[in-house]
Amino acid sequence: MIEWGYVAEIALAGFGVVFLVLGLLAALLWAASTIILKWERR
Amino acid sequence: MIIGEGFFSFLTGGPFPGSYIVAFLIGALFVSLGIAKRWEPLILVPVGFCMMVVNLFPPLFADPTGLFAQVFRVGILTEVLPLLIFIGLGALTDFGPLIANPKTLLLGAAAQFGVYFVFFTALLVGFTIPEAASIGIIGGADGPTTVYLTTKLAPHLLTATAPAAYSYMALVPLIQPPVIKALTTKSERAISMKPQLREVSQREKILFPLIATTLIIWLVPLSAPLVGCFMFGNLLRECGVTERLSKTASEAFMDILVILLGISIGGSMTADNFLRPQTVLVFFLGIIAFATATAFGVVMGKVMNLFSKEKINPMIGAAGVSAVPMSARVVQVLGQQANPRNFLLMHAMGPNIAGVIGTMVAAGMFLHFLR
Repeated sequence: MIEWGYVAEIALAGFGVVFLVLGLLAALLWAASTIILKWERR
Repeated sequence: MIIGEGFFSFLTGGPFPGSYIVAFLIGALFVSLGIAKRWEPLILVPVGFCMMVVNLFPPLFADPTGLFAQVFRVGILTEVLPLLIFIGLGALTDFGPLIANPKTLLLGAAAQFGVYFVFFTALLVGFTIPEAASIGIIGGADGPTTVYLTTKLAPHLLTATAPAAYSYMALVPLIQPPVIKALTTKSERAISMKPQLREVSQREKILFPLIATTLIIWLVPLSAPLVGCFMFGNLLRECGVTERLSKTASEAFMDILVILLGISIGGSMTADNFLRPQTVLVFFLGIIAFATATAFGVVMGKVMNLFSKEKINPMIGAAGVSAVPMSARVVQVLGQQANPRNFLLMHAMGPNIAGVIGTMVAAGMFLHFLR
């Protein structure tokens, strides 16, 4: 017997965390690149 | 009697090896597709050939001291091979397009929808939760991650999920275009993006694997083996002081690992391991995973195009399924068909590489819940 509540938790948490991690990585990349580019131009 | 031990044992009164003949022919088909069509030849040729050999004489895999069983045990069951392959893949990957356009990471995230859609679908057709996760991850279009996760969660399905993942990666040019065309208008496909991405400095390329490793492992610890190996290989490539290691990791080391992976997967694909109704279902679900991953990537591309200052061709979202670089090439070809002045390859490489990272995170999350 499949516990659908648990399945939904796995899927929602999984997909949510994928977005969270890649979104945070995008924000970090953008911030780091902005700082590095400014520093390299100086 | 020699003739009584192998494929022709039925001549001496043994059972007729019908299923082994079918598995042998499928192996031959893999070899011919690899050679004639050049579909993932580096993996399909070794897998297909070993499949032919092992189905001519099935005790080869059953013998625990034999080559096939030994390589399978040491390479796959210990999870060593897929992880080491990630070092080579990291050394082959240029994160430049991703660093130049970080928002494409979201396209790689969106394409992981296919993983979860098929996770649900697999449960509906009767697979257990760990099996469904191993099948769903095929939608990430990442062979080594599929092998790694299946080994952890449902090793008995490995002979189905591994060939499904690799053969569908080879079939990306056939699977993706109809899905992309169904979801986009010709004018959307013709949207041109800046021909050049900004140049990314070496400092940025060195920092990327360090930042990404720290962030991802901090948030999803169980993705550490995959992410760690991938980013380690990339650091060797980008740091500028380990050229010898980078060259070895991306060439000879990688080639050896791919041969061993081919031997271990192909050598385990005896008819009784491979020709089961489950395998057919896994292949069927695998294609659904690829198609839905592509579709959701394109939809995300459309959404981002609505809110972005600079136009985004929604097709680059399709490259969020990680099959690197085939899905980016598919986007490039379709873009040029719609607008001959369109050069989308580098724009599509960003989501393409993001898809690899997204699939690792998805695998880490499955392990978090199910290990």
